[in-house]
Amino acid sequence: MFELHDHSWELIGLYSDAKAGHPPPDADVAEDLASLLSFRAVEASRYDADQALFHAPDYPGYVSRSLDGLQIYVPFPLARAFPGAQSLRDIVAFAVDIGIGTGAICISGSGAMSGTLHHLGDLDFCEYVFEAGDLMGIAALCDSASPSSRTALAAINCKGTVFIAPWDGIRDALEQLTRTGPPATPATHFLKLDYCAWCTTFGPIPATNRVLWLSRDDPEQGDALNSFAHQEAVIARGGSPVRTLISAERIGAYLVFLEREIAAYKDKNPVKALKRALSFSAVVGIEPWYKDAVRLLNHEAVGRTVRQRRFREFAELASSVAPHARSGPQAALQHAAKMTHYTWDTIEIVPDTVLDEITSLLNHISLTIESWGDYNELSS
Amino acid sequence: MTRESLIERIISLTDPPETEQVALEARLKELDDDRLVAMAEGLERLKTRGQERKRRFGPAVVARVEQDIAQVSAHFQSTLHRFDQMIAPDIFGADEESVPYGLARSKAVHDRPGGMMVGGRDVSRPGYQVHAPATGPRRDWAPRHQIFPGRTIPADVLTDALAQLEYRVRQENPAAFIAVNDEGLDVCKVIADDLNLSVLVDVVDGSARESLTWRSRVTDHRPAVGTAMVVGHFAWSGETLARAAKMTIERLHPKRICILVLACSQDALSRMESLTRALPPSEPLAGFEVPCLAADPDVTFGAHRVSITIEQDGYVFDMPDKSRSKILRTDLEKSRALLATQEHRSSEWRSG
Repeated sequence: MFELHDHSWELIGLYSDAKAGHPPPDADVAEDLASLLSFRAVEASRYDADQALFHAPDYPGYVSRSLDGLQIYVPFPLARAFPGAQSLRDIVAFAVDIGIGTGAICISGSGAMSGTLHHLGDLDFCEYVFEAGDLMGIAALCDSASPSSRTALAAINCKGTVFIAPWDGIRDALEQLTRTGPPATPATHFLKLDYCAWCTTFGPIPATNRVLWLSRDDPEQGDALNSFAHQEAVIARGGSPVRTLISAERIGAYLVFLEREIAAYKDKNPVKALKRALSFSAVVGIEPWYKDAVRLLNHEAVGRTVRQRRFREFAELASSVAPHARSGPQAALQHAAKMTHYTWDTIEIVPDTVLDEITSLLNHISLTIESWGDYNELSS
Repeated sequence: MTRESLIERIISLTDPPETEQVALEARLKELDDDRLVAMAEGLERLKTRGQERKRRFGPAVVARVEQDIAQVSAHFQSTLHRFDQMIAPDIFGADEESVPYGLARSKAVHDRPGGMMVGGRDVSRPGYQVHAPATGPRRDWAPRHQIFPGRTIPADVLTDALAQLEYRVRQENPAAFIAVNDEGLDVCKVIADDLNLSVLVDVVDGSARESLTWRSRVTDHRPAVGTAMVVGHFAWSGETLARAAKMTIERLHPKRICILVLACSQDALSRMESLTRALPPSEPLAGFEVPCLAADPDVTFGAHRVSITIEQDGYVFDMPDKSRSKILRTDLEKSRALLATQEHRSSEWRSG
């Protein structure tokens, strides 16, 4: 039977503390966590596809590499699944293309694990922004007359309102937004940009840039509470990681977030929920689950459902792209269809069976993890 | 405390798998003294915290959590097993260059044959660290449906068939990988690159041209050749395959040889019949396994394996693995009949 390491027990303890709303046991735990995270980073260094990630001693929990003059910082849970140079170069190119500012932009989601995960449904980014001017740059993106060769803006969700081409009202919405300053509390759907992206490595793929407007005084507060640095590989663009991984409270909150996402998505998007379970096992250190989740996520049965979803989403997004920029995503879709001899919405698979199987597994995982969160209360 | 004892202490506190300790030690040696001291002290305290958590949870909870982990693992396994029944497993080649369209894969660095690669660590080979390719990734790989130029094969059918083939290669974990030209070679190149196989031999229609490519980073860790795998195409005669196998045996002295025969023609099954006749009983080739992967009536793609094990006192018959492609199993009954015939023939050969 797999025996959890003592350090993992402390992480489960932090999870159950967070779930019960208890504060971390004491302030010193952060220092001890720094040692664990540093160790995890040392352990994970050079285990990426290129063996190019090295322990970043000044940023505990991060490993780091350079690529074409950019420094990239990868949190330990993502390190051994991080992509190698070739696909990373494409991912970074996307990031630079869709970034609205010039500061740190992060690779999150399965793109950051594409060194190990074969089947990508989308590419997620999040960008830290500190200046109102950067936010207004979004309006310029909407007005741009020259389409990019690899991305096309499809939609903007600004505080829950979705804008699409011809972008009526977006400038007013952004101006209103910037008047209030960075949100003091986490806001759902604060600002999210949806793109069609395409390249030879990934083919057509939906991409998202979640913009986090943070205060320089405390970049861990406000909208930052909606994201977790532990799942964001930072393309530093001249700087360093904006946020720290060493916070007992945030680690506990991250694990609670993962558990809740597993429960929330196990029926409607079980593949996404399974990735959350993968992240949970990576942070806590449940190696058997990690390996099995990777195997399952890489299974062709899952791959087909992911591809089906991905191309449907891409096609939907492409229909929202401004007419003058639509030829790029449409050509990418046509090329993909030609390459594969079938259209994405007619892939013959057994999605219900596959997804039902994963949901059943996730029900088990969800109940298991949830029950762990209750142990603290029971035992104290 | 000396650096060495600090490193020992950290390793003891973190208890990594034995196979990872050497690599971990090397990485820890790169840290300066202060960081090593801080890490050892912090890990020590955190271990104590973890133990305290366990004590507060109580032994029943501890046992329950570990039992939970085992039960979820078992659920994972059963799910994976059911998926394998549905469709060819696709667990190879954790990519550094992702998968355009989900059809082509490039060089794998993580999951190599043996199935136990984790982030560059080959946990199936204790003490060994497999390094990333020195020469960089292969860049001229082709999407899989282009492997058979001029043939009209539905991409999903081919993808599944190749996934099946890779699965077999992976299961065999060959130390040598031999291609018999043409499509066989093309397939081998892609798969060998995917799986980072150590040896690639080209045999062009039995002619003199041949090449032997040793990949030193792997052969360093493989002093002896275990299984050699020969991959050929049905278009090539059984004689050619037999020659390739013989040459492999002579040059590499494998303990075991496995022949994979690819077919993407309408009369693949009849060719299989021809092949088995062409293999001379005097050659050390006996024992056949025919997991037929027939597609639709117009297109048949097969990854037929002829597997033998060379031992002092005879040959051991290998059982086929049970995974089948849902799409490609329409002709399974026919293959079973053929398998029965071959088992009979194989038995006759062995009995002399």
